[in-house]
Amino acid sequence: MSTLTKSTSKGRRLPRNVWWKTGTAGAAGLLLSFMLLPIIALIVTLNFSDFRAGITHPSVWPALKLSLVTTTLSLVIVVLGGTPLAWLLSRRDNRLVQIIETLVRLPAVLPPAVAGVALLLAFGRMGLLGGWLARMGYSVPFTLAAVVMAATFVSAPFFLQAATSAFRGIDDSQLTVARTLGASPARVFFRIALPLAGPGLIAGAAMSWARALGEFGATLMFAGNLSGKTQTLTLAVYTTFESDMRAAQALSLVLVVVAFTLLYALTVTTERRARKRNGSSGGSA
Amino acid sequence: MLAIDVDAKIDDFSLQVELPPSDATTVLIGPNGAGKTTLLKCVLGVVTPTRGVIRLGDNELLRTASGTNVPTEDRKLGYVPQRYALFSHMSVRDNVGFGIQGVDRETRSAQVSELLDDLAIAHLAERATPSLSGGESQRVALARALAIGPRALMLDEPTAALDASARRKVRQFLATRLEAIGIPTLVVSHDIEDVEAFRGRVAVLEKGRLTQLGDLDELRSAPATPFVEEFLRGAR
Repeated sequence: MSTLTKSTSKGRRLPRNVWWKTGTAGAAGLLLSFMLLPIIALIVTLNFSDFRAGITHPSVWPALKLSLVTTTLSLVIVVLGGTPLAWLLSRRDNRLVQIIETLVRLPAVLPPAVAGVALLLAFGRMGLLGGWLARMGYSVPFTLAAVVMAATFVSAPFFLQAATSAFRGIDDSQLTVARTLGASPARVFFRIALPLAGPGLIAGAAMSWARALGEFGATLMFAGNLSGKTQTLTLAVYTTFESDMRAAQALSLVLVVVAFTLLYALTVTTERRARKRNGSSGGSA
Repeated sequence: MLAIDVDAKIDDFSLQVELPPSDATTVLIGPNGAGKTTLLKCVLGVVTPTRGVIRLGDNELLRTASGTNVPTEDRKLGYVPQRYALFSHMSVRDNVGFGIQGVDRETRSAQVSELLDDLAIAHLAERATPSLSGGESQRVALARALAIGPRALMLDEPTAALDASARRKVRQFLATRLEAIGIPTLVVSHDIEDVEAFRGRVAVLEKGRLTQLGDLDELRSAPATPFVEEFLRGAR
């Protein structure tokens, strides 16, 4: 059968189409240059001494430290809570699961201001849970905890979506076989499901972390922009932009480099994995 | 000895099957969607029947009336699914050793080596499973299932994923093996040549019901349904 399809596909060949080629190349080139230009501008319009002056601006290191601490904390929360949630969602398929999945995706598409309002209404001093916390003597808004909560709220959907689809991608019969071999549900999860979904979980964690690093609106409304206390790197860019354009640019460059490095490393490793898997599985079926 | 008497309902599909006790191989045949794999899953404990009894030797795996339902992981059934479902992140050795528990590392390693030798796949021990051919995968999957010392074997379409020449070899290999192992075995198949090779009894399943049960000669002398007639002519 394979020789048959081969010979027919050989006989037919797409005619050369100049319009098609120039059209696609033109449209692709246009969007690509539009997306690259701002990044290039960020780099080329900054000379080294300005960059050095920018990154030694007094608000930079506290903001960088705060960003690293809060995004790490939110990542830990997202992964520890999100992995079991994604696993549970992936094992079931009903209306309730669809509703929960939509709900947990919501923060990713909500306008940041809406997320900020929602967080205040839940955890603010007058909020649903916040009022009760306030009576116990805890106040969440405008604290480090609020920064972490805002980052967790907006970044969790990225991890959840990637993790759920990674778990769904696992061949069910591998899990069934593992159980017939005497493995408890916990062993099936840790020895089979987790390693198989690993690349997807890592990709989701990276996307989620990058989103937390870039979080702006909800943090501003819910945690404020207090230098050294709740001012993240992203908020510092916004603040210095008003007083010192060079410093804002230097900070932006730091964020771009961090984000690019992370995304590139991710792309390379996931592709290498995919190639490894596809390249070696062609043997049988 | 494996005896099955179950009713199961999944969405709109209803399965109602009674298979009298047998020690030998039972080949389950039937059109697509007849419930063959579902029946296998009932025995494995992955699908819970609404009513029924499944007995294996002196043990009851399921008795809905008394609420007995042994969990899959405690049933000690060897399962080789369609396309084998080898753990793709583990070597052949780790796949086969996965089910061997409660022994020290050396013992497990020795048991795995013995199985690999026995199925003539010792040379594959350190290979990554995605790089195996269909026939090799089949042997690894069987070794993995046998590693737990199963009390019965469930094979779902063991030859369907193979090309014609591999299929003939694997079928021959499996037939000899199953006879040597000598535990109750359920084989789901679409292939008349599987039925001929595995001997034993043939259970015909159509639309969730058992339409004929007997050995191949009995089916040939009195095919109960048009499906059986067509199947015996070698049509898939």
